[in-house]
Amino acid sequence: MSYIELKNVVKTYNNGAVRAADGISFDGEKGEIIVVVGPSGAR
Amino acid sequence: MLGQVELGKTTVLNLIGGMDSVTDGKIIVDGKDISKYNERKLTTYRRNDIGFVFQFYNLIPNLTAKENVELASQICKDALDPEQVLKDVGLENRINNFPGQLSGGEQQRVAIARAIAKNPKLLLCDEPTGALDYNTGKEVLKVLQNTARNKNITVIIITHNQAITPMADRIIKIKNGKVNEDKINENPVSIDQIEW
Repeated sequence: MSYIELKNVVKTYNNGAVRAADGISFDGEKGEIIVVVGPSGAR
Repeated sequence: MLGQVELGKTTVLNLIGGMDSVTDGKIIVDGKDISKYNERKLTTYRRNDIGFVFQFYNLIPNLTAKENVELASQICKDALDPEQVLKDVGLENRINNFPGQLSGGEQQRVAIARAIAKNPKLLLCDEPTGALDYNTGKEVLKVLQNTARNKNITVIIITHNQAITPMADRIIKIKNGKVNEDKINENPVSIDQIEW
């Protein structure tokens, strides 16, 4: 098992109208640098 | 668009940091499923396990650098020595200065020291260089890189700046709320070697 694990993470707002996180999965180990990159202003 | 919409990558940070809870799915940190935590357990989790670094440093203006760090170290178990942590981020000569006497980069390093002093499981950084100029931003990223390497703390950096990805062990690209790319970088480089 990894030190940090996201498994199919979903986050919705406005009763599901906005899916800010739409099934996000990734993992990482202790002492690692994890860069999460996304376009500015993009969901 | 309806009102203000959370950005995908910031949403991820809020969920990992226990500031918001998932609609569905799991988040496991050091063997614990935090997505099942209630409000009270999340508060303890945020206090003991997470260090936060934001774009704007959120220091208390009428407290010295050391006192700002002590604010964090005093509320959690297993805290590190505030003076030592300030030395580790290169602020040994600024320990008793107030935020207003420090540059932006120095203030961000105090904020990082404050987060590290908690000896957290995860150091979560939301656009940590967003308010800094190029060279100062690089210095701050260097401090974050040293933190992961020397203190074995997992550092998660949320950014729009693709150029810094060579410093990472893992690169997660998020688009439209989904993971667009998930890459392990076998040869991360020192931030000194990255230009953008």
